Amino acid sequence: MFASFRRVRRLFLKELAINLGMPKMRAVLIFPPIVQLVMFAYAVSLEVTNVRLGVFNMDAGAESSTFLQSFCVKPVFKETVGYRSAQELKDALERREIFAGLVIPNDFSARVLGSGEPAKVQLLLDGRRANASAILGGYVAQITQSYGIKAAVQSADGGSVPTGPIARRWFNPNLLSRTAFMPGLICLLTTTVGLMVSSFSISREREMGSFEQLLVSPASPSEIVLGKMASAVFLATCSALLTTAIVIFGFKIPLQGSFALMLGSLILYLTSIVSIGLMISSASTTQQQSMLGVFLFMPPAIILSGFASPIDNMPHWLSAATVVNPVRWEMAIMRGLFLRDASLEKIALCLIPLAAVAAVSLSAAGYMFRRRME
Amino acid sequence: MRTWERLWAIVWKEWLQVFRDPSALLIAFVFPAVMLFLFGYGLSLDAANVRIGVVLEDDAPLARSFYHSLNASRYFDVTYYSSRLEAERALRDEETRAAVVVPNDFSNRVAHGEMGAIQILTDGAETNLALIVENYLRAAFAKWTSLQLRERGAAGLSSKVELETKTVYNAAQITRYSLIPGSIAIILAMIGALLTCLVVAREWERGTMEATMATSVGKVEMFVGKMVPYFLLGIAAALGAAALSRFLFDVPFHGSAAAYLLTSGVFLLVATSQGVLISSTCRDQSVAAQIAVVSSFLPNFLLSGIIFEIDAMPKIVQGITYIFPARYYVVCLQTIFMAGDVWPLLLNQIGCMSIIGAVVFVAAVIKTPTRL
Amino acid sequence: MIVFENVTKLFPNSARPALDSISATLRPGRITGLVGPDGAGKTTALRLIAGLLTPTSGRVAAFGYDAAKETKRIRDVMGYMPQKFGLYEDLTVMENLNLYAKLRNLPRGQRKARFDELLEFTNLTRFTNRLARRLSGGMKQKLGLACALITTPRLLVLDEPGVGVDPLSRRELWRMVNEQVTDETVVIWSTAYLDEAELCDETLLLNEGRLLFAGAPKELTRDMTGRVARVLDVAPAQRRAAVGALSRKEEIVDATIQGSSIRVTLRRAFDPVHDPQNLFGGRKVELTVPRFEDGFIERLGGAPKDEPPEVAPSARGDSQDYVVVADGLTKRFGDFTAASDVSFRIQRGEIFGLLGPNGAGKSTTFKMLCGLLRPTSGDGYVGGASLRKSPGAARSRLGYMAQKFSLYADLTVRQNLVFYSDLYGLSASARKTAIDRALDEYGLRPFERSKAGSLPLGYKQRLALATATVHEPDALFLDEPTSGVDPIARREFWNRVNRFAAQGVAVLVTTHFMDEAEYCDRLALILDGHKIAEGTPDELKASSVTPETPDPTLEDAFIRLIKQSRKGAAL
Repeated sequence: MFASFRRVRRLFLKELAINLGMPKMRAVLIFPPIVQLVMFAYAVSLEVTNVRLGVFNMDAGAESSTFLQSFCVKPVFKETVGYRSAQELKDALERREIFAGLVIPNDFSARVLGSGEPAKVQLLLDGRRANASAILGGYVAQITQSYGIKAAVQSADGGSVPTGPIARRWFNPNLLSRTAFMPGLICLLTTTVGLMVSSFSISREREMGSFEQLLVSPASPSEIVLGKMASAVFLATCSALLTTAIVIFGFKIPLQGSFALMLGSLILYLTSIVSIGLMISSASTTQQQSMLGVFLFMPPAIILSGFASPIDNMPHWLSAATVVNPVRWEMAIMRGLFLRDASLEKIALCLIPLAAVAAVSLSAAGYMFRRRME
Repeated sequence: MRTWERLWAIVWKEWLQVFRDPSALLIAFVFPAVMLFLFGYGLSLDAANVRIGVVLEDDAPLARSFYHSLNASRYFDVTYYSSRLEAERALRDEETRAAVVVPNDFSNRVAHGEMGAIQILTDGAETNLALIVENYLRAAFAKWTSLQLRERGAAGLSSKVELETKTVYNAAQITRYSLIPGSIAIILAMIGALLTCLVVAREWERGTMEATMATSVGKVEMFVGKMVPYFLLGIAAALGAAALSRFLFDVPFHGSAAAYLLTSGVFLLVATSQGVLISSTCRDQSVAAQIAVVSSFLPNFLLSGIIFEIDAMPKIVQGITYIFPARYYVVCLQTIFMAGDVWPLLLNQIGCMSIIGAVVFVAAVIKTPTRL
Repeated sequence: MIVFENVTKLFPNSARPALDSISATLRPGRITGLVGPDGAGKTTALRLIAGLLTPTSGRVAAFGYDAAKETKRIRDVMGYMPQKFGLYEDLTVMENLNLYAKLRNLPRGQRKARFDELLEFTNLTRFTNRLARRLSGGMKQKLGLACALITTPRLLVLDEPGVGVDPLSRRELWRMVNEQVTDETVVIWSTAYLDEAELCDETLLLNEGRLLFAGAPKELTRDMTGRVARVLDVAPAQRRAAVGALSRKEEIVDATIQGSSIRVTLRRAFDPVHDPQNLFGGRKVELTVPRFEDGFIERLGGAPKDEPPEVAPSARGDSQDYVVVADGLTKRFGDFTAASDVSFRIQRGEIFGLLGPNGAGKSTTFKMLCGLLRPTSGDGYVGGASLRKSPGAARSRLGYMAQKFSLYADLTVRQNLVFYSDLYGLSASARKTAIDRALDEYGLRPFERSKAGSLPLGYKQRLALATATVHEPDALFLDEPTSGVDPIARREFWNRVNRFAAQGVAVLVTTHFMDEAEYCDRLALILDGHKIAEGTPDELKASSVTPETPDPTLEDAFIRLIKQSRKGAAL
C-alpha cells in the first residue's frame, strides 16, 4: 500500500517535471489561455452596434426629419443613408450595404400632425442575420413608439410623456456580453488546457519509447493512470486559476459565490476532462491521433455546453443528451458562481452529475489503458 | 506533357489512398454530417416559447386581458405566479427567463385613459435572450395599450407612428436559417485544413515524402497534386452539407447550385492551400496538426460573424476578421441560401477570398519542400 | 561519377557536423558501400547526392551536375530508396510500380515490359494486387528496389536496404543490385552491417561524420594478415573471464567471443605455433582471415580495456535455477499468429540470444516475456513469478532496455535514475548507493544534470543500461541493444553485459547482427512465429556443415535453417 503510494507520488512528480521542463508545454499552459481569453473577451458579443440604416423618405415635411433624428443613437446606429426609391433601398439591403431600411410614406408629416389615423412606417430588416435583425427590430420599435407617443402628447395639448414599462435586468444590469460570457470562457479555456496536458501524455511516451520502459516497471496500470491524472489535473487547475484571476482582477468581473466552491468544482471537472483526455491518449498510438481525438471531442462538447446558445433552445432529445457533457455542468457552475450568486443547492445539483461523469470517465480511462496492453 | 502525367499520377495516388484509408473518409463525410447536426440542433438563438412568469397584483378584468394577450403570443410560455416573491424566486432558479409584474393600479390607470406601468424583470445572465424578451414584451405591451386606449378614445396617448416590420429573406427571424449555412463555412474550413494536414504528415511519417521528392516531380506538381483530391472531397462534403441543410433542416435555398459551387470552390481552395502551407511549414507534424486545429475551429467559430456580430467587435478585432476567408464565405452562404444569387455581393466576397487565396497559394507553393 | 569535394554538413542545434570535410569519388561500374554506425553521416551523404539536403560548405557533383543547384538533372537519372520504406503502403504492388513509372517519366510503351521484367526478377509476380502493407519485410524491400530501378537509372542510391531483413532476402537483394550494375551505373549501398561491407567493390567508412577509410574493403585489412587469430575450444564457463583477461593485455587490440572460441587481434604479426610471449597460456591458437570489422576497430584505436568483475560469480545462488522460462508462449492478433508455442529456458549467468528477421515474432515473444503483451496462451516466468498471475512481482525482477532510447529525454540523468529507483521501491539509502554507483560506473557523473535527450548516443545507451539495472534485477532483457552503435561502444556494452552475466544475471538479448549472436551462450531462431532452432552457436553452425561450406558462418547456418523451414512449410 505504502509502496504503491510512493510510486504514484513519484509518477506525479515525474509528470510535473516533464511538463514544466518542456518549454513548449510551459508555453501551452500559460500563453494560449491568456491570449485567447483577451481576444475572445473582445470578440464575443451578441450586441448589435454600428448599424447603417437606409432610408427612403417620401415625405417632404419636417416631421420625418425629426423622426429620423431620433435614430442618431450611438453606438447602435452608425449613420443613416438616403435612397431615392424603394427599389434602391431593397438593392442596398440585398447587397448588405445597409442592415435595415425605413420606408417613410408621403403622408407621414400630415398624419403625425393630424388627429386621424397614425402614420405607417415600414421597416425592412435583413433576415440573413436573424438574431441581429430581431434585436435591431426591437430597438427601432422602441424608438418609433416613444417618438409616436411624444408626438401624440404634443398634438393633444402637451402634458407629460408617460413612461413605458420599467425593465430591470438581473445579474447583469447593462446586459454586457462580456460579463455574461467570461465565466463560460474560463470554462472553455480550462477544458482546452486540461485536454492538452492529458491527451498527449500517454501517446507522447509511446512515440518517444519511454512508455515500454514504464510498463515493465512494477508500477501497475492503475498507478500510472493515477499519477498522470493527478499531475494533469494539478497543472490544468493552476492554469484555470490564472485565467480566473485575470477575469476577476483584469476584467473586473467579480466572483459572487464562494471561491472554495469554485475551486472544488474545477478540480472535479478537470478530473473528468483529464480522464477523457487520458482515454483519448490510451486509444491512440501517435500524438497526431490524440490530436484528432481531441478535435472530435471538443466542438460537440462546446456546442452542447450552453456556451453560445441556451440549452433550453435545443430539441428535447438533444438537451437530454447534454446531461453526460461535463462542460455543460461546469459552465452552469461557473456562470452560477460569477453571475447569479447561485445557492449551494443549485451548485450541488450541478456537482452531482459532474461527479458521476468524472467517475465514469475515470474508470473508462483505466479500462482503456489496461485494454491497450493486450 | 510529362508534367501532366506526373501530376495525374499524384492525384490518382492520393485518390486511391483516400478510399483505402477510412480515417480520410471519416473526416470528409461523417465528421461534417455530425457537425452539421450539432450546429443544426445544438445552436439556436431563437426566442420562441420563452418561459416567463406573470404576477397580477391587480386582479381586474383589464389586467387579465393583458395577461391573456401574453398567453396567446407564440413567443411566450406563460406561468402565473401569485406573488412577486414567487416570481422572483422562479427567475433566480432559472425556471423562467423573465417576469412581468402588473401593479395594483394598472387597470385603474388604463380605465382613465392613461398608460399602465408594468415592470419587466429579465435574466441578464442570458444577455441575448434578455434583450429579445424585453423587446418582445415592450412590443406586446405597446400593441395591447394602443388597442385599449383607442377603444376608450384616449387617442392622445396612442402612438402617432405605427411601425410595420418586415424581415426580408427570413420573415419569422428563425436563427437556424442563418446559423446552419454559416456552420458550413466552419465545417469546410476544418476538413480542408485537417485532411491536407493529415496527408502531408502521413507522407513524412512513412518516408514516402523522401522517396517522391527524389524523383523528377516539381514543386507545383507536388502541391497541386496533393490539393486536388482533397479539394474534390471538400466539394463533395459541401454538396452533402447543402442537401442536409435543405432537406433535413428545411433551410430555404433560393440561390443556384452554380453560385454555391463557385463560392464553396474558392473557399475550399483557400482552406486546402492553408492546410498544405501549415504542414509544409512545420516539420514537426504534431505541431502542424495543433495549428491546423487551433486555427480552423475557434477563430472561424468566433470571428466569422456566424454568431457574434463583427460590427460589435473592437476595431482591432474587426481588422483581424478580414484575414479569415470564412468571414466572406459566411456572407455568401447566408445570401445564397436565403436571398438568392446576389451577384454584385457574391463577386465582391469572392474577390476578397481570391486575394487571400492567392497569397496563401503562392506561400504554399514556395514552402512546398523539394528538399528535406 | 560522383564527387564529394570537401563537403561539410552542419545541422542547426548540433555541435558536431554530420559530415566533416568529406572528399571522395565514386566510380561507375561498381558497388560502393557506405559503411558506418548510426549517426555516422551515411544518410546525410546520400541525401546530399539526391539534392534533398544542401551542403553547408563544399560541393557534391554527380555526372558533372552540382547536386545542390542542378538537382533536377540528377533526379531524372537517379533511383533512390530511402531508409524508411518509401512506398505507399495502401497501394498495391502494381499501383506502386505504376506511380513511380509515371513520376520517373518511363514512357508508356515501355512500362509493361519493364514491369514484367522487374516482377519476375523480384519474385513478386504473384503479388501484384496485394497491398504493399501486407508484404513481408523482405518483399517490401524488394519492391522498393524495383521502384528505384524502374527506369534503369544511371545512379542508384540505396539507404540501408538490408536492415532488419532476414539474411536470405538480404542475399537476394544483393544479387538483384549486382545484376543491375553496368559500366555506366553508379551504385551506392549504405549499411551498418560490417560483413556486408566486405561484399562491396569499394567502401567509404564513415564514423561520427569523418571519413576513416576509402578503398576496396580488402585494403582496410591488408596489413592485418597474420595478426588475427582464434583461440580454440575455450570451455563455456571460462569464456567470459578469458575474453576479459585477453582484452586487458597490452599486445592485444581486440578480443571477442565467437562461439566456443575467442577471436583476437594482435598489435603485431604473431606466430600461433610458438606463442613466444605466452599470451594464450598454451591454448590452441590458429590464424584466421581478418575481417572488415577488425580494420574498423583498429582505425578507431582498438577495443576498450575491460575492467575486472567486482562480484563473485556465484553471488546469486545456484546456477541450475532457470531464471527466465518461456512456456508455450503464443500470441494471436485476430487471425494472425505472431508467435506460436515458443518455449525456452535461461539459466542464471547465461546469455540467451533471440534471432530472427523483423516481423518474424522475435519482438512479440520478447514483449510477452517482459510483460508488455499478454500471451494468448502459454505463460512466462521471471525469477519464478508467473507473468500471468503476478505480473507485478515478475516485472520487479527484470531489467529492460529497449531498442530505441526509452528514458525521459526531458528529464536530467539524475531525475531519470531517481524516478526508476523509486518505481522499483528502493529505500532512500539504497537509492543513494545505487545512483552513485550508476553515475560512477557508467561515467555519467559529468552529465548528472544534463537532460537525457541531449546526451551523445553512446552515453544514452549507458544511461539506459544503468537505469535498467538500478534495482539489481535477476534477469536482464535487451532488445537489439547495440543496433547502430559503433563497434567500440558495442565492445564496451558487451563487456558490461558479460559482467552482469558473470554476477549470475540471466540475459535475454535480441539481435539481427550475426556476429553479435556469437557472443551468446545459446540461441533460438525465430521465423514466421515459430522457433525453428535452438542451441549453442557452435551447434547451429555444426548442423550446417556441407561439402560446399566446410566452415559455415552463423549466417550460413541461419540461411540454411530458413530454407529448410520454408521447404517444410511448403510441403
